[in-house]
Amino acid sequence: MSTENDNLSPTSPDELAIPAGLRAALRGSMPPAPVIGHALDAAIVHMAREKFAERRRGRMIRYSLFAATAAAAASVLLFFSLNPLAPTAVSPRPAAIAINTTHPTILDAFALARELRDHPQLVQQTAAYHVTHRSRVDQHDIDALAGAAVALTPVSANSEATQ
Amino acid sequence: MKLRMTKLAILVVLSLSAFLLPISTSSSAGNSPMPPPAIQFTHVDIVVDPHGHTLAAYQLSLVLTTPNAQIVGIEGGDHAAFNAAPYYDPAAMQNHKIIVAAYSLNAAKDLPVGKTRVARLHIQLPANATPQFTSELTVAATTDGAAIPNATASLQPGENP
Amino acid sequence: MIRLRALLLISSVLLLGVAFICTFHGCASSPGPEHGLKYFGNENAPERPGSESGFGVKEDNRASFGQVKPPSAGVSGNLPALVPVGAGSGANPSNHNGDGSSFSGTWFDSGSIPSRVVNNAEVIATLPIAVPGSVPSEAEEIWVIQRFVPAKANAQPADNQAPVEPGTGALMARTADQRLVPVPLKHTDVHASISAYIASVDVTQQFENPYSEKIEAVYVFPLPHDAAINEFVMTIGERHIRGLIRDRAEAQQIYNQAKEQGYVASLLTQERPNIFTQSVANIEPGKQIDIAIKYYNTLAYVDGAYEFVFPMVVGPPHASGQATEVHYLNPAQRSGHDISVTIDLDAGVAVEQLSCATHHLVIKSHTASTATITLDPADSIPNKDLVLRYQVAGKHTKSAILTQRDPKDANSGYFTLVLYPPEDLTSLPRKPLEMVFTVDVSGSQSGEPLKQEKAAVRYALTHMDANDTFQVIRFGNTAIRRYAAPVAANAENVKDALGWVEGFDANEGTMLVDGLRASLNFPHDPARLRFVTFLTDGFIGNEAEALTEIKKDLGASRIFTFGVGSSTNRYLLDHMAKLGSGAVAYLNLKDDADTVMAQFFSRISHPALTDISLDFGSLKVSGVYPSRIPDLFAGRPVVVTGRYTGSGEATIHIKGSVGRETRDIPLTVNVSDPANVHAGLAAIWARHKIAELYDSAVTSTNAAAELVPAIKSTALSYGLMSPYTAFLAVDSLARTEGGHGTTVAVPVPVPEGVRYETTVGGGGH
Repeated sequence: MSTENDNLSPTSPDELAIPAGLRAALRGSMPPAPVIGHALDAAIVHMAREKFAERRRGRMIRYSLFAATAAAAASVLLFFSLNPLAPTAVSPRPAAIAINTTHPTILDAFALARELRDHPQLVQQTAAYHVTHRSRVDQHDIDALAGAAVALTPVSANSEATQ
Repeated sequence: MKLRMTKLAILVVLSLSAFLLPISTSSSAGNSPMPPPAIQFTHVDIVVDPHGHTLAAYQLSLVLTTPNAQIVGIEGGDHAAFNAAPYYDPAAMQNHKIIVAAYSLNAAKDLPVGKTRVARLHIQLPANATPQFTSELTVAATTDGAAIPNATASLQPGENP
Repeated sequence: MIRLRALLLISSVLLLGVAFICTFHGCASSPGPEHGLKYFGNENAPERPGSESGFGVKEDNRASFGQVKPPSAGVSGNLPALVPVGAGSGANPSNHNGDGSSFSGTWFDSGSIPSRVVNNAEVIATLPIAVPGSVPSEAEEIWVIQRFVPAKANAQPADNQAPVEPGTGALMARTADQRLVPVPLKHTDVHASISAYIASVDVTQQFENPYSEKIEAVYVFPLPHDAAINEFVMTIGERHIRGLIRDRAEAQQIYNQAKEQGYVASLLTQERPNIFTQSVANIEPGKQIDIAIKYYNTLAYVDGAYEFVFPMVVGPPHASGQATEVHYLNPAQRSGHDISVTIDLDAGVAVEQLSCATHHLVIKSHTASTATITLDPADSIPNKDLVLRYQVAGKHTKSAILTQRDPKDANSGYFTLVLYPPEDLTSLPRKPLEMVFTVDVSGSQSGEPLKQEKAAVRYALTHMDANDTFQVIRFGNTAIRRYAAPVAANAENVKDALGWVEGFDANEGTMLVDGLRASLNFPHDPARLRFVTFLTDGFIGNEAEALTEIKKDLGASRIFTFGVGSSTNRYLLDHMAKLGSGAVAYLNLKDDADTVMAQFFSRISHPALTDISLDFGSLKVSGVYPSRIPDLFAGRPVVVTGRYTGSGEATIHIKGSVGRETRDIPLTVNVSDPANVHAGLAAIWARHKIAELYDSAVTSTNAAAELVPAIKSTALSYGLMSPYTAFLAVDSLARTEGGHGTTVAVPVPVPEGVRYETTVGGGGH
């Protein structure tokens, strides 16, 4: 029988440091201490151990899952950092769209309009897009291309009849 | 004799009446219609069919071949994407030839995919004449600028109001 | 049997009689529904109402029935009036007007029409004689139609004549039930984008029909005289119809035909370089039609600041007693039309100062070099020109170039060159001056403008050099010189002149040509520089004559014009200065006359670079305008525009004279520099070319036949307005019901500061 007792929960008056008369009185008023058999004791201990084990298992599962997730994330990050994804449609392209400024059609104006909408910074840096050769590219350049597309005859620099 | 004279008088009077009444009828104020106008105004719709593709841009050239006809206005289309009047060359009007073109930066869901009127030409021409054009669809394109290979264009004359 | 014969005979005679009467006297249909409008007037009414199938016909609703109210007090005296003359029932009792009065379809000799007329109505239609010698009886009621017939009404400009005066239609301010209704022009929206010194301006006019019937709205309005109008869009609901530029006569004809047939149509014509007429036909009741116009123009650089000017009202012109062409409201009336203005300024360099002496503006947002400015809604009555001035950082005495490439030819394009006088001219002494002050004392100068004129002359007279001489001239109905010859600018003469000027009163006509002759046609002292200074608002009706006079008599004089008033004829004043090799300044009513004159004296105190020629070096140029480069004065740069072929850098040599010294000033430019490129230069160049050709055509009778086709050709090629081209748009989709409606002219307020009583009100002659 286990004698572990921390004296914080005495089981009988004999274990208390009290006067003998009081001890006798309490002895008389208290029922006899139950007999805890070994089996019961063992069962209780076993239950406690089971409880602890269960908790430990839960913690282990949680820790394992967390570790696995972290490992997986780390693996993914490591993988994509070593193998980057292909760029999306809106990220800068390496080459400018060819625009025909000599004999343009509406598609050239349309292309410049899309470029200006999608890559406004890149457009300013691309010489080919400066149709009107000003310091910035804007709707005027698009209109100039569209105007040239619908023009029937080119305007000659020496076509003046009078001066 | 007297009877003959009377008959003759009646005949003369009736003849004169028969002669004058049609004139008076025709000259009655407010009843004779105004002569029909020598010229008429009508319109021609430019319709582009992208055959299921989204239409984002087009360019079309036309020559008005009806004698003494003139374009007196250029209007945009039905769809909101092409509602504004298209690009055109003002100088082209002097030669009865015109190139019209337009584009739209709308998203695909906001662009036409079927037959759509993209522009309208308002025309003045002689009365009883019909507008006649030759036309060529130079290009029609989708949102990424890719040409629509089987796109077609047609010109639909309007009915005179 | 006898009875039958008699019956036949009688019925035949009756039938013949009816036929006779119907043939020679006409039968009218019953009148149509009473009009919601009780007014009259249509400049397109036929010359002879009788040429229609009958007088008073309702066929096209032009000849109206019912009473018309006499013109209200504030409206021009030429307002047409439709009045019944005579009394009693008509020959045909069934011919009734909507209000119970009746009319007769009897034709009669116009010379015997009873003359009981009201409100200056006069018979203008000569009706055919149906029965010789017959006159209407007192029992008959006769409609007398007065139709306003302006000079050269509906005439198209002949190739060798100046454009016609703007025409007007009838004015409607009250309905039959005495309700006041707003005029057709509801609102004008102006949006200007200024980049460097080029302005691109969108003007949208909103026309609305507040009446119960269709109308045609006619609106005469000003734009800058160098405006290159190249876009015109008519908006009906959600539909946008772009108008086309056409030969003017052709466009007018198409417009008239569309109008007659009931189509909505719009026509924009140019009456003078700075005055335009917008006509919109067949506006249905309650409907709104917007007209959008776009133009480019070059900003003037004046005494250290750029000026953006948007004119808002046409001032009342007076010339030899001609009537005004625009209907003006009296000061107590408001049309309900207001204006909104937004200006997006991108100066390209830091803006140091922004000011507007004419209106209250609100700066919505700004950075160092940009600003968005709007007109305060509380200041939205369009009765004075809007002048925005802004100064930019840095000394602007360096000449500069702007270019625009031709998209289809990388090596050619258009240029605009701004020439500034070099700094080192200021150290040179000036020659003695012979100053001539010519002051406008016409009715339009009455009030504040005359006060400004007097203040300006007072400052000038009291700040002349002792070595200078002067002459003072006043012009109104005639021109009067104070002295037989210019007198020395000593204290005694100055005091005398000041006293004379202070006694001026402005209540006469405007004989500017007389003023010019008096100012130029007297002996000139060759040892002096003659500067003729005109102080006027420039509102005359015979601009061509004035400009021709300058060309003829300028001699060695230089003409400086001061436009005095809130709304001036900038076209005339600029051209007088241009032809006179001088400069123009504007003295607004809120400007300080002393300051403006001080700047003027500062300018003329430094000699100008005269007899200027340009050598463009490696750049091949053509179509350079102006063909004669004006003198360069301090603070007054000169703008030259042309076409070029070439690329990269080039050195332009500006050659001229300073007194007896010649100068050659090199200027290095780079036509390929992206910083120098600006859209809109092609239109500006074409506009300058048209202006130069037009000036030549106006003042030269021989060259007109060649120049007018050149004007038309240039205008059509570049899609621009000109005196001989017009913008037209027709909506053929739907035809409106009924005839073409009635013409309603949009009335405008008298320019601020101009006295209504001495100008429009008839007291100015």
